[in-house]
Amino acid sequence: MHPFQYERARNAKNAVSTVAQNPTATFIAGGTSHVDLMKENVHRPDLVVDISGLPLQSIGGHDGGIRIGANVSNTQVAYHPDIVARYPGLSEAILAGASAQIRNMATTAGNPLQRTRCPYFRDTTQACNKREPGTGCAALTGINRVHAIFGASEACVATHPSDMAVALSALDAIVQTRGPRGNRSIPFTDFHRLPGNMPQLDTVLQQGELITSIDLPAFSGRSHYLKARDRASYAFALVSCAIALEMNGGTIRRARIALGGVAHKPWRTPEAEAMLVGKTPSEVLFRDVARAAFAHAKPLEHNAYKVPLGQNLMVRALMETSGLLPLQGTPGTAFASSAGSVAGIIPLSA
Amino acid sequence: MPSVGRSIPHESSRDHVRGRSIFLDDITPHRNELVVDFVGSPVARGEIVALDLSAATKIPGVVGLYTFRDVPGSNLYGAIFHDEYFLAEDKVSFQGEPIVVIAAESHAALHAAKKAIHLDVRPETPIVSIAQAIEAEEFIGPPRAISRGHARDALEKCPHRLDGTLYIGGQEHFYMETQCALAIPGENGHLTFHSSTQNPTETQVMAARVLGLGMHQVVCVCKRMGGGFGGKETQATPPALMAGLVAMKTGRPARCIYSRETDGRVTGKRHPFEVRYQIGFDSDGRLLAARLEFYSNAGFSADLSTSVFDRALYHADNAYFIPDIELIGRICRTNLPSNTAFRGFGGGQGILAIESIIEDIAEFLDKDAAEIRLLNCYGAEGRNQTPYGQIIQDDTLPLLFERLADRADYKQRRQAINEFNATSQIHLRGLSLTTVKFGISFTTKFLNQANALVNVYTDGTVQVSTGGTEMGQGLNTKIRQLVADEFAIDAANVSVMPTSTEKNNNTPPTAASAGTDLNGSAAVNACRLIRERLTEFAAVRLSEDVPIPIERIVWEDGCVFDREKPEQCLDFGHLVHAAHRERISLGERGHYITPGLGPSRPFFYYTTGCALAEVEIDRFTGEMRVTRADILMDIGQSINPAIDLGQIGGGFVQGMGWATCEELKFSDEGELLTASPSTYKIPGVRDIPEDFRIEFEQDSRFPENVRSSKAVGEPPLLLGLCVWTAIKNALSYAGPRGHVAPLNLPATGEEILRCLCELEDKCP
Repeated sequence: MHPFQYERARNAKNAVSTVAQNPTATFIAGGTSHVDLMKENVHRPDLVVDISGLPLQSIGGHDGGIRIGANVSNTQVAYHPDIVARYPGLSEAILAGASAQIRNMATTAGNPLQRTRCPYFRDTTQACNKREPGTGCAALTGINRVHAIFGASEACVATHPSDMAVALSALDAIVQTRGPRGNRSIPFTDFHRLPGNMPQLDTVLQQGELITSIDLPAFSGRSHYLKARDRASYAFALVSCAIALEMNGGTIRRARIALGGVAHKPWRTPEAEAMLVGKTPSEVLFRDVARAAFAHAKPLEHNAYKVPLGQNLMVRALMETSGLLPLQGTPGTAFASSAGSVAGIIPLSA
Repeated sequence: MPSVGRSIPHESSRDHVRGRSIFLDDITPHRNELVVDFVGSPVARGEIVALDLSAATKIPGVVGLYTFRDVPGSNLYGAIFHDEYFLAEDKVSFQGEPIVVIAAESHAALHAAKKAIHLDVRPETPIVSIAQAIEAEEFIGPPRAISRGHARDALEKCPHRLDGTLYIGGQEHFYMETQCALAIPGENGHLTFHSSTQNPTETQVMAARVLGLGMHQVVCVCKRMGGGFGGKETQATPPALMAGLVAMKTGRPARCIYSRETDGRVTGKRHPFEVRYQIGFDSDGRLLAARLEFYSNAGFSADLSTSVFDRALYHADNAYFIPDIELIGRICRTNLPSNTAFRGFGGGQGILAIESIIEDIAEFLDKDAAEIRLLNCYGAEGRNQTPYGQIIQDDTLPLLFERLADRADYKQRRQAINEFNATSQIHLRGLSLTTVKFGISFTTKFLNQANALVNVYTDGTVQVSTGGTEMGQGLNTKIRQLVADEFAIDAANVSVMPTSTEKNNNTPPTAASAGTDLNGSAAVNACRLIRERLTEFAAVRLSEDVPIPIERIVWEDGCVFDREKPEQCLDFGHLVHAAHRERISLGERGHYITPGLGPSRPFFYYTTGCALAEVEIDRFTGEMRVTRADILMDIGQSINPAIDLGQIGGGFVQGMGWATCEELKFSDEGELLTASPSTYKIPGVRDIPEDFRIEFEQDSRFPENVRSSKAVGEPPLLLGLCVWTAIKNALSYAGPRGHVAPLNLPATGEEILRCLCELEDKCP
């Protein structure tokens, strides 16, 4: 572990200016991912500014939607009655990841800032452009079964590991920040970057730019999250799918679909979403939509299975969200009862 | 109160959970101790064309760099055949093969030295797969075969026949403590090793051989391992040799501990197998003839591959009688790390083939696989002899099978699953009841012996040492119970001491499930010799004039007394104290050999069991969960039911991991791509069956073995394979009837999805 200085932020302004002025400084809040990376020598900050004491801990109504403070824990969000009632897909996504202990520590702003779980990124003996730009990408020729099938580059084929971020993407959340040059609102879909030739940058945040909240816009439809993984615990998504569906009687008024585990960022599928508008839900329709969503997938040597897996998961998620199939939780999460049906806290009607 | 049969806690459990148990890396470093690591081959096959150590030697803190030229004894060694180089000479045969041993004052110096070593290896095309080895005719040893009758002719006459090929993957041991050793130089060229090994004698033998010492100059000690699973039966040797070489060259203590990645890359694993089969049967599902051709991937050297292969053949019948049978095969040499022992030791690969075939026959005949299994179980005379000639005696399997089917409501659940699968859109459920008949004994006869040293002290406490090693399985606890009962004292007054070749010589590895059978029996034999002397002494001591007849002397609850005068009892402590004053020896060595073994009886007995798994697979994603598992085992009279329960549950889940989620992937260049937990997945806590029921057959006893117990280490791992057959059963509901799911092992979500796509034609 690289030696570092620790500083507790007195206020947001101070924290922003401290980190902005020092390119080797970072913020830390829950530290659930960041500290691991420091121990592995992947992250080597000289200065760590602890923002966990800043008053960014409220969750409440905002503009017809909900504003979630940056320091609200993942657990608080997942079990918040308004989230459970109005944005169950977000709740499901959070509970599909990590463990209760980690969710208690991890924060709203920290979760979307997790770094990739690409094994080569975390192994400092391997080449990785994300960790050390210019060294190459060991995953290209290595074991790449958990890697990207969309939007990858020659420099990086990593995927984003967050479940929560996939749901936030489908819900068109807004990231509010405070930076050295003032505040800005970043649509969640623009928040994460594709790797291109600068895979070291995961997001559009500037040095010292602090997330203050994540806002969920008003939404009156149904949302749902499904995750496929190797094991029922301690496993990141091979593919996941978040759906936000607004119905008009028996037809679909608006649909948003975000995929996890397939790209460097939560992967929205605008063509597929457009195909659903004005249609009546059916398995045939959803299969067509899924085919279209994956039409441009570019699998690597070991991850071609993600195409049928992703298509099937998307079909099932759409069928469950639209009521063609009973809602099933992701196995192993608090929302899945032993019989496979959903605990009563998610309303089926919307 | 007797100790045997009671669930006294594992002797280290309290210290384990408090982090106080001493593992090898916890041994306080000596003042001048060195750290040891090595540089291995970057390619799986090639020729070393250049090696320059000059820059590395100049790095501050680097104490020594050693190649094969520095090996004082034989650079060639091996468990059965001497076909492995300790340090590569001119050729390399697997990626990571050690070439240079580095000794340094610090880990930083080690890392710097590794970077500064200039090594140039000209790569050659490696052989990675079984198919490539067959093509190149790269085999270890001659073809191997067991047969009875005329399988080829009989197959022609069978009413039905199925042919196929099954691919079975390997498995990483994933012991928590990686391979490691500490070597301490002594006087007169002596070396003492602390080694995390299942086989201290092997470490002693190999160290003597490679370092040019007599065995009398080498001591190997093993206090405990953080898991072994067979991976430390032979492969604990290289780190010990490295540490030993450094200790010898520098005169300083030296410690070598593999990192998780290094351990993953260079140590052997469970053998992958390919099985080509032809099976003939009648319309009831009765097996008539079988021809099975096995190929194992041994890696670059023999290691224990011949014995592993033999055990696969010995278990290819599992619990089923097949009149005409031919079992043949080859051991393939490839450019992978040398595959080795792993809990089950080839038995699992043998069992899998026949269990897979039975699922396929059931599908083919549209029958329940459980019926076919029961129909074919070994039974009465004429149907009770294995292909290798051993008669199955007192076979409890059909009884266990019917009992478990009954207790776990097999028929009702089968009906429920039929109904569920007919209507469920999202999931498919599968159910499978399989058997295991696992042969207990080393198939290499001379290994079936053990010795033990028992020392009784004058305060009435006892120390016992055996060649058996403790790897978490509870051997020491069971030995403690056995010894306590021999002297009718409390187990708290018995200590099991660290295993050391100084106290117990020429010992077998702690393996083959036989640790308690062999070492426990040897300890009991030692105790009985002491007890005999003490009984005679007590007979005099308790008498008023003529000695009391020996048969009247009773040992009970810490006391020794005359059955006819129980009120005049001698406390054990007082008895041994008095005996010592009379110059009666209170120490003894016991030796034990497994009785009755011969050419047509390779196994002393069989441990048998049945397991029933119910699984649910997701038709969309291939994800699988085990909703319920029931196990019923015949383990004789359990010495410690809690420990046996742990062994059975743990073994089952480890077997399930092999069958479902643990996948080793090698590149075409022979590089292991899944060398750490980020890419290699052992079961997580949520993968354990949600409803998990384990029972022992209560009435069972096996008086020929120590305290009527039976071995328990490996068989439950093979019971875990019923999860795989249950997945196969679930898949049988997906396709058209009679269409066999081409499922390989491991049945990962990815593999299940592949089969679903093939069967349901839903995927693009």
